[in-house]
Formats: sequence, C-alpha cells, structure tokens
Amino acid sequence: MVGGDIIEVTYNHPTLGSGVFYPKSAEDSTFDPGGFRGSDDANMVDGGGRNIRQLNQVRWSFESPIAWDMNVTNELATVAALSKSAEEATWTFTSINGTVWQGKGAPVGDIPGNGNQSTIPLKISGGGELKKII
Amino acid sequence: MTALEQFNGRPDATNPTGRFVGIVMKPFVAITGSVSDDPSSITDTRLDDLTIAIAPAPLSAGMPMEAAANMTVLYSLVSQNTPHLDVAGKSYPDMPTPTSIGSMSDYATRNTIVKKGCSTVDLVGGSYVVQDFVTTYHKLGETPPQFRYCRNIMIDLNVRYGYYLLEQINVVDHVIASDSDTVTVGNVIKPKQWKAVLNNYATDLAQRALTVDVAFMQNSIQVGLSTNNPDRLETYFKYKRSGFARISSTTAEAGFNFGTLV
Repeated sequence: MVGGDIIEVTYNHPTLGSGVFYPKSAEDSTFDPGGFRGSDDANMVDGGGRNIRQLNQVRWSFESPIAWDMNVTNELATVAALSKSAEEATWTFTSINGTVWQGKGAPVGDIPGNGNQSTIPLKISGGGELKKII
Repeated sequence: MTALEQFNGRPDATNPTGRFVGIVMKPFVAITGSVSDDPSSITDTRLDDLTIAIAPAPLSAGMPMEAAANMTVLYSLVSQNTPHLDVAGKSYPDMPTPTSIGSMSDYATRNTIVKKGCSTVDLVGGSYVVQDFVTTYHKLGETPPQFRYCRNIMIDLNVRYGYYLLEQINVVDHVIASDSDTVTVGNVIKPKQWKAVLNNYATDLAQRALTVDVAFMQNSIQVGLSTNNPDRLETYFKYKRSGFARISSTTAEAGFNFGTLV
C-alpha cells in the first residue's frame, strides 16, 4: 500500500471553465465515498434486545488544504466563484500512488485563506459517489 | 424515398455515410404517410436503411400527408419533451377513420408488418392508436434490429448531442496535457478530466432513463491521446439503451389446497 500526497485537484465547470488546484505536501487528505452509513448508537436496541439499525445517506466529500498563490492564480477567488455557482463541477483528485478519483460537486464550508502558510482549506462535496476511475 | 435515403446515409462503425458521418452526425427520420391497407410491401425491400418511417392510416379517406402530419405532431412532442418515452399508445389527433382498418386490426398481422419495417396502428374508440413507430430497418441476421424503433434513434441522438455539448465545453480548442503534467493555466484537458466528465454523463443519461446500467458505460470509457496525431483526443465508450415495455408477459399458475389424513 502506498499513501502520501494528493498531487492535484482538477475541476471542469460548465460555465466557469476548467482548472487545477495543487494540494500542500504532507497534509492529511480525507476521502469519503458517500452513500449509506449506519448510526453508531449503543442505545439503538428495543426492549426485547433486538438491534435497531438506523441507515442514513451522506454526500461524498474530499478534503485537503491547497496552495494559494495570492500574486498570480489567486485560488481563493476561484474557489469562491465555484462555491457561489448554482451549477456543480466535475472534480478529479489524483494521489501520488497513481489512483484518480472523481465526483460531481462543489466546494462546501468556509474558505478562510491562510496568509501565513499561503494555503486554503478545501472541502469538495456532492451527491452520488466519489468513484475511483484510474 | 431513395433520394432521401441516399442523402441521409447509413450508420456504420467504420464507414458511415451521409448524415451519419462523424463530422456531420445530424441524421433525420422522414415520416411518410400511407393510407393503404398494408404498406409493408414498400418497406420490406429497404431493410438496410433507417430513413423512412411510415405513418400508417390504413383505409382512411384522408390524405397520406395528413397521416404523416398526425404522426409528426405526436413524435415531435415526445422527442422534445420526453425522449425516454415512445408514441406507442397515443392517438392521431386529427385523421379520418373508417369503420374497419383491414389487415392491421389483427395482432398477428401487425406483428408480421412491423417485422417488415412498417409502423402499425390499431383502431381504438374511433381513432388510430399507434402500436409501433419504426423505420424500415430490419437488417438480415440482426436480432433485435438496432434501429428498428424510432425511439432508439432518438435516444442515440440525445446521447450524441449531450456528448457534443460536453465536448464543446471541455475539450474542443483546449490544450491536451498528460495526466501527470503540472499545469497552471486554464483551458487544458487531461484524459483523466475528460474521463471524469463522461463518468458523470453516464449517471445523467441513466437518470433521464435514456440508458441503463451506469457501471457498464462507466467501465467502458477509454480516453487517450492519438498515437499518430498530437492534436487528437480519442474517446470510446459503450452504453445500453433503456428498454420500453411494449410487451408485458406474465405466467400465473392456479391450484387447489388439499387436506391430509393423519
């Protein structure tokens, strides 16, 4: 098994065009494929001792800080524009181990750019599933 | 009819002709009215073409062009608003009807007629009701014929046009980069990006009930730079058209409940 950095995050948006973000090295990244999750509650049991399973659906998501070039590419403005758009983009997330994941979605949550480290916390989420395509 | 067929051409995996040539890809269906009892003698010889689609109104006192107009108003609305559906079961809105429509009043005869590449109608409640709307296509040895039902062609054209729009947005006039290249400018397409877009397109098509089996299409997608032309991005994928329940077949068995002596 090989883990490590996320090499790049690309997007293809129907009106804002296409582009790429570069995640910061040696940062944790989170892949959630989306779908149904079982509730983890020890009290989910009836008087007869029978298990009660609560299954709820969640969105797929990907999370990792990306580099922010304030002088030239200004990723903060791009992420803000993608967040604002009513239309979703197609995203790919490429790992150093060669795998590529894709999903359709948009940035979610706050995007407080870190001026000291020159990074932006990026979380992308959407419906359907985060699918491995390569 | 022959002139229309020659202009429209034929689809083919390696050598399409006419309007089916990849650079054009705007084929049409020529809806042709008929008031004869059984027009399949016209269609049976055109088994390799998918241009002519008969709008039958057997034994009507109206004009053939009226039958074509009736079918056109039905088919154009379905194609525009609900392309996953068909015109089967819909009534001609304005066509003079006889008391009997002759050969097409019999199911077995209609079945024979449609297999010769001719559309069929039935007379229900004093109106012509479409049973099968088909092109003349019934290629020998092809079961079922890919382009028999006009609905199938409309699904293909919907798949094609949606793909065309995605191409215009994401591929055409973009720079082709390698998946592993570090790129910092816009209007660049990498094979993995295009593959991701098409993965989502597979989901979209299935949600519109135009296709089924999303995973089948997604797993078939191949994207890559041409081996002999650096300016050509090549894509291949397969899809399964959704079926339309023209026949509902059920087998039910009945029995008795007997007791047992103990």
